[in-house]
Amino acid sequence: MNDAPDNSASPGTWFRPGFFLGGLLAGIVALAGAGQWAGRHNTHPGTERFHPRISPEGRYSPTVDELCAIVRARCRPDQILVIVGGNSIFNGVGQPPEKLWTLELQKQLGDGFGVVNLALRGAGCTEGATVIAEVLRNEYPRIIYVTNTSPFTPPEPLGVQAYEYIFWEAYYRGLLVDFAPRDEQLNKYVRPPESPLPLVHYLQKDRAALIEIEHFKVVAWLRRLGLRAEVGLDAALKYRDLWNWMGYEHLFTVPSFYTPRWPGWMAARGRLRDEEPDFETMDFTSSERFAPRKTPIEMPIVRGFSERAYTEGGPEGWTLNAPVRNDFLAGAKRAVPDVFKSRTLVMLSRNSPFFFHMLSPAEARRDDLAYRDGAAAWREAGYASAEYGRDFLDEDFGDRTHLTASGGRKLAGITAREITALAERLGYFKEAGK
Amino acid sequence: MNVWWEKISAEWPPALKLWVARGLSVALGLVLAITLHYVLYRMGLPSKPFIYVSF
Repeated sequence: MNDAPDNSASPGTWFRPGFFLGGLLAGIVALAGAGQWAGRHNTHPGTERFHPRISPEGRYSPTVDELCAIVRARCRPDQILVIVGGNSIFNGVGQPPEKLWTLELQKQLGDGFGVVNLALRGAGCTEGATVIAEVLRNEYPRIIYVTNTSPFTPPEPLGVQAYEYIFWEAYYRGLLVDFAPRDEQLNKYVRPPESPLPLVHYLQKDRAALIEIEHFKVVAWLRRLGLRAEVGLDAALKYRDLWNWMGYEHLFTVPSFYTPRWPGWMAARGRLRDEEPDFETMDFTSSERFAPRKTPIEMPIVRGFSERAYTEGGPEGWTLNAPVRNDFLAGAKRAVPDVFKSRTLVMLSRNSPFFFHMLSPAEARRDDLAYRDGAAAWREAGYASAEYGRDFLDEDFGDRTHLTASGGRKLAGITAREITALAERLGYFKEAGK
Repeated sequence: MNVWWEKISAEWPPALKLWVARGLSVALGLVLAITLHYVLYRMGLPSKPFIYVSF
């Protein structure tokens, strides 16, 4: 430190640049160290899932280290790790925390398995939680990833923008398996321009000189560059881990849709209860839940599950459209590295029978074919797959797609059987017996 | 900028003045470190909040 002991160099000033810089550097190093610690210790005790106020919806974005810490806190190394991903259905919308379907799944699978629900509302089937399964591949060699989707929805490594940060963080930190088909897909989204000229034009704000595709490429390339820099900076300084821990344990600093008013938005996220309503005790009857006014909105969605994929005709009444099948298979092959495909169980989610029974017989036949062929296509791409919900009752659904606690119990039973069979096929029980 | 410092430290022994100055400078550095760290966190949050809609 270049500090004058007799104060003669600058007698009237208190500011010492050397000590200031020392404080700044020491502070940054200490904060980075604290962030490193926080990422390993922010395990969300007492919460079973990401309810809206501790998810990106509530402006709380869990980091990769944090998600891994949550898994480690809930699954012992001697257990078979079951990571549950997928969307709001698997997140358990309509099931209060004590009736959450994954608690039942844990119960049915028994102590040999450790079930962790990392599903996020609105997420695709191969994003968010999938990344964490891949990151933890060496720590938990006996791992099964369970997710849900609808038939012939092509999976993507990047899905909903709100959750893609999880992928990019793991990707740029080198935590994922090298998988060329996925990289090729990512390059299609965000590849660099073929010449530096568009970049110069972009920087000069001469956007009119750019043809649309070049403009897209430059913006995407700059975005990817920014993402890489951001991930690198955060990996070094750990600011997201530290401030997430602060927000979860002590004081949150970001207003959100769910906690818009002061001082409510400052409450530690860990003290906010999971207030998911219970479809079974909500103040509405089944007939109101599936009110006639909702039918014109819901039925096109129900029909849409199979409408695009099939053309009338053929021995079964409907023929699967080849481009739909091919698009799906191409997406499924590049979404997850080959080594994880066999460890991934994709559950195809049916719509409520209340709506299914409003389909014409031909449409119902097409719907059945879509689920049968959809699961077969996942298996052809190397995954395990099954469907659920065909024999469920109206009261097993809280709306068109989300399950009540009774539906959740049925889902848990079907999924537990599929997981056990998959664990058997993967030889996990033999490994445990060694 | 330093009038207040001159005023409060006028009667202090030189050694005390020196150490308080050093302490204040370090503290300012720490405050700036915390501020920068927090600003990076806030800048990393998505600008558009994600509102989930079931479909």
